Amino acid sequence: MLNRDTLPDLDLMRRVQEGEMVSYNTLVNRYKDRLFNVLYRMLSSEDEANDLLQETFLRVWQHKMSYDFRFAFSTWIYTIALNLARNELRRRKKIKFLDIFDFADKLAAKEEKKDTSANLKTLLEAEMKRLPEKYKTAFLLRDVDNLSYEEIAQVLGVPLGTVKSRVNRARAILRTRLKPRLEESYELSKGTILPINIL
Amino acid sequence: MNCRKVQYYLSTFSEGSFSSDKLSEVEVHIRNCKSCEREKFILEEILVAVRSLPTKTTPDDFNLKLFNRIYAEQNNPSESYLPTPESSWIRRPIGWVSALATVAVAALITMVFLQRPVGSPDLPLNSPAYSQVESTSPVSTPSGKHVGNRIPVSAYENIIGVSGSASNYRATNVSQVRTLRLADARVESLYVEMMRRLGAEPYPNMLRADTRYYEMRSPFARTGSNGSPLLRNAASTISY
Repeated sequence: MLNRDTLPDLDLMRRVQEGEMVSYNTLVNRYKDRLFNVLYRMLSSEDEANDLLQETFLRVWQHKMSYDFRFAFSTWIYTIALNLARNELRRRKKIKFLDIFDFADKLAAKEEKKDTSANLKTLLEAEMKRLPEKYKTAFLLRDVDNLSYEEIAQVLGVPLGTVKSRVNRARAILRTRLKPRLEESYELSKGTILPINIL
Repeated sequence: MNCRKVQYYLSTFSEGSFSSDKLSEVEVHIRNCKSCEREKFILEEILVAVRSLPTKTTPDDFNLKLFNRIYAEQNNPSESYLPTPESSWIRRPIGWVSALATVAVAALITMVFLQRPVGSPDLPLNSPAYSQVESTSPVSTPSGKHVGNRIPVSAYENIIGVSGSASNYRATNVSQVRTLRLADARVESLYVEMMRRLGAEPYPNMLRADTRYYEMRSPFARTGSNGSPLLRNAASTISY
């Protein structure tokens, strides 16, 4: 029996164009969590990420016949998802929501700044949220989703050099912002200071 | 190479995508400069932390909701707010012909259903599915939890109604194969959704009964091929 899980995206997409729902389902399973993570980190809301992901896959199904086989399926689906996410972010800018959860996050981030021993991952997530959108998108695709620079350039429709510079910029911002927290770890790794619980 | 330049290159350096001469230049500098070594350490820590951030997963019913939306969109294209490539059919004469044919088939299906007794559309009285519908014995979930004396028949009517319309596949032609596939998955997804709304867990016996019923109606079963591949495929799209 044909094992669709091992079929490449393009083969599955050919079957989807013939109306084969099972191949479509395989593609959904293959991409849903990866895309969900990127959307979630862009929008900072699981519900909205879920809605946009539904919308993304719905569009894939509806526009399946217009898919161009010269391009990777991953590029196509990421482009759809990110366009939807960017539209949503643009909409949010127009209608300024007072999000109490966002407010709570900001407050928590402020508190964590004071407390240098705060969990690095929590701090990092808070700082990632604060990155400017264009840097954040490039950074997420590169460092969270492991897309190649070439793929990111195709998805975002910008030159390769621009992608590299955006990723570098995002990393530099994070480096500056997380320096106070990580300098201590550096000193510890070098053995120049002793952890307080040893003293 | 000065510190500023090295720190500018750190990001590329951390990915190991440098030309060998530049690479050794940066390496030598970092070895001899504490400040740049610290910056490199910080960046590496960040990248490790980013890659180990907890990953989010989609809700369990993600596929179910997605497929329901697709069926809803296909059944009510006028309510769709998304422009579909297929929507240009109005401009094609052949589109009108197929639209008229669809209307005729839909009318035929409606007539057939209207003539059937209420509560058992297109279902033989001796079928296992029917006996489940009519059963008044208490319903238990696989976990043994008592759900209630009886799930309203109307719930099953809807489910069977869907599979019933798919069984009219026989009345149509090969071009309906796609419709049949959609209907296959829809039978089950509607069933699961219905059970959720009723506050009951999906009832496996009933599902199997529907499955048998469906296989019986499937053209693949009638032609003697190996079971109902479409149904098996459809079942794989539903996750509990």
